[in-house]
Amino acid sequence: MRFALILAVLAGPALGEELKIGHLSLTEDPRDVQDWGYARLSAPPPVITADAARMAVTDLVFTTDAVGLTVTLDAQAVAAGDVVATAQAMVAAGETLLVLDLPSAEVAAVAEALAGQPILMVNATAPDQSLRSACYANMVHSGPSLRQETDAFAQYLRAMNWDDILILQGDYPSDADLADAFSASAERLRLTVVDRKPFTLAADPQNREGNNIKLLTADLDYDLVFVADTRGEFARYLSYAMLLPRPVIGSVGLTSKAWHWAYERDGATQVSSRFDKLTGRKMQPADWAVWIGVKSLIIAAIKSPGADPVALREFLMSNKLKLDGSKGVTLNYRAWDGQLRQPVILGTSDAVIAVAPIEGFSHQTNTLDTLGTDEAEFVCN
Amino acid sequence: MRIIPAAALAAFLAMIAGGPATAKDTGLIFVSLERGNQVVVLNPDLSVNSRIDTSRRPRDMHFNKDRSLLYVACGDDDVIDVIDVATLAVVDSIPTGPSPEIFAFSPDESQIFVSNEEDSTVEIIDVSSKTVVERVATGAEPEGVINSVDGKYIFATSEVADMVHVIDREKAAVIKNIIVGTRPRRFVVTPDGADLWVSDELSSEVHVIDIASLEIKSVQSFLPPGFRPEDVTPVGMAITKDGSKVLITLGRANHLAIVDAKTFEVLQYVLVGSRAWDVDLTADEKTAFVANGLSDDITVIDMATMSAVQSLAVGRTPHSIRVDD
Repeated sequence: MRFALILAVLAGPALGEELKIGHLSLTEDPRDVQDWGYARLSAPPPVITADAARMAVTDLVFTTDAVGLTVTLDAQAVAAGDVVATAQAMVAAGETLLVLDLPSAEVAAVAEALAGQPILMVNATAPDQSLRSACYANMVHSGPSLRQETDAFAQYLRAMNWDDILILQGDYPSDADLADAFSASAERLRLTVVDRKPFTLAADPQNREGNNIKLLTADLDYDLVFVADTRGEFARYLSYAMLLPRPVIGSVGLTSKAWHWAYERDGATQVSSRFDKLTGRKMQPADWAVWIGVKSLIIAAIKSPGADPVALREFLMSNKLKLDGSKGVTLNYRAWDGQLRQPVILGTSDAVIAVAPIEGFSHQTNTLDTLGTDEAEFVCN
Repeated sequence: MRIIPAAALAAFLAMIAGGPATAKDTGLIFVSLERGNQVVVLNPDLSVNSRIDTSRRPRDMHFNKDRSLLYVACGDDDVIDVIDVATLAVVDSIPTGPSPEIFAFSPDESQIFVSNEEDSTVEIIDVSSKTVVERVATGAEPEGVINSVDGKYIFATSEVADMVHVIDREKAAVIKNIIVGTRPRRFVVTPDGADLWVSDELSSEVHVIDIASLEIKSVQSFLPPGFRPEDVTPVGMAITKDGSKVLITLGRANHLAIVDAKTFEVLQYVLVGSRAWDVDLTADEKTAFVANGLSDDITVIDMATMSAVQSLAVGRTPHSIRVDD
């Protein structure tokens, strides 16, 4: 036990130390799949990521026991309006490490309310670029950013030489954000966006160009369609209904996410199986992001030379962190935006097609930095 | 089987082929195909002898001492299949816990120690009665299993807990946990019984543990020219009978490191296939075979020149290689 004892002395956790982690989510998350059109959809069960947080704690119990670290997890699900007050109460109760499974607006509200506090927040599931460029001093991001996801698409399309893309975009702000991110990714790899067209869900005959799939996809040629429809209600009916026989990617068809339950390399099967056994449902990207977020905090508490949240954040963003996310490579957080470097999985509803970074895309320091906003182009707002 | 054009290569293969095949020391090369549900059997000249259908997801393999039987852990059917080396057919199956991956025999061959990566246990199985006699809880995703030369300890890695569990065989209990690098995978024990080598896949290291004191005595890392540390993911290892050299597959770095076991000096980095995993040596130690998990092939290495002489496609996701000689 020499090594363990050295860790206990040099690193933060002395015998009997307690790591208090809070997990905050919404009772009704608008991002869960909803049946907008009474279409009798087989909607997947709600993604209760508190389960993933618990699994991370259980996974590491042998290790935390060995160094005498006690980890407690307090998972709270509240209404959107109560998020800030709950987060403040959790911090007041000594939970200095908060893992957030919240939409972008709620993450921003919590971050503003807790700015300057000596805590560490992990934004697990809001992919918005704006949360990265806000440069919150006490936050890191464990789930991939939109740009990491869309860069993964762009690498794959470039590798396949599918370089003419039609973008269809819905009218939600998050649809525009997704389409913007994909456009930027396409530009970086010199893919051609032949057109970017808005669609609407309404059947207004005066707007046939905007709601008729055949008209939307006519009059030009392209290798495939990227659909930005974060609700999914339009995208669901797009494949096999377009004027040209072309594949659809983005919100349906081929998707680009942190995790896929069918991924079976790199020990991923074991993680998914443990999750399955624990919850009776398949592990979703948000589950992985929460799992790795909690795991990051515990590993940092064990291995970082300082135990306070500021020291933990510094350790997470250093090359000293060698985090195992069961995606084949060691992970750590980027120093410039607090974003977890990670492979991104391109998959269909039931199969993994590719994992980005796609072979052949190189970077001067870390291949994982071919995905997402790189240091030179990153600006804090 | 592809035609080998080079005369030198043919001569080399004739050399490793040895004399005519007999029931013993057949020189047959067994490769388990994790996604092929087969063990492919190669002749000494590397032509395909046969493909043995096994239970699903065959992984680690070990011969019994007289090499009449080859045991194959099959992860998706929760069994260890038993292959008769003379007839090349599955003749028996030993039930295990969920998802057996790596296993070892006790020195007297009466017991099998197997890691069950999906329920986080190491099981001790009585070979003759085919029953589980003990179940030892480990950290999540146990993988490498090996026993000390004296049979006193069973060592097991936990890939998630980043530790080596030291299990007292008689008590069937963990007596010590040794924290090593990130995602520890496999072991070798030096032939003198003194040292335990552990490969740490994601921290790009190998830990060497002194078995007498159960303390870490050395941490080594390996970096083939032109690679970054994060590309180096060590997994499989083999050691020569005299304990002088350790062969370590470097995973994503697509190289095999041949290392001086005493000085840790790298004698040679050998370019192999994609995601090099298991490695095994022939009995005369003139040849090494590496299973490449992502390129679905094996690499044949001439140990005299420490260079790759051939690659051979074998099937989906080769996991382990064993040579009967």
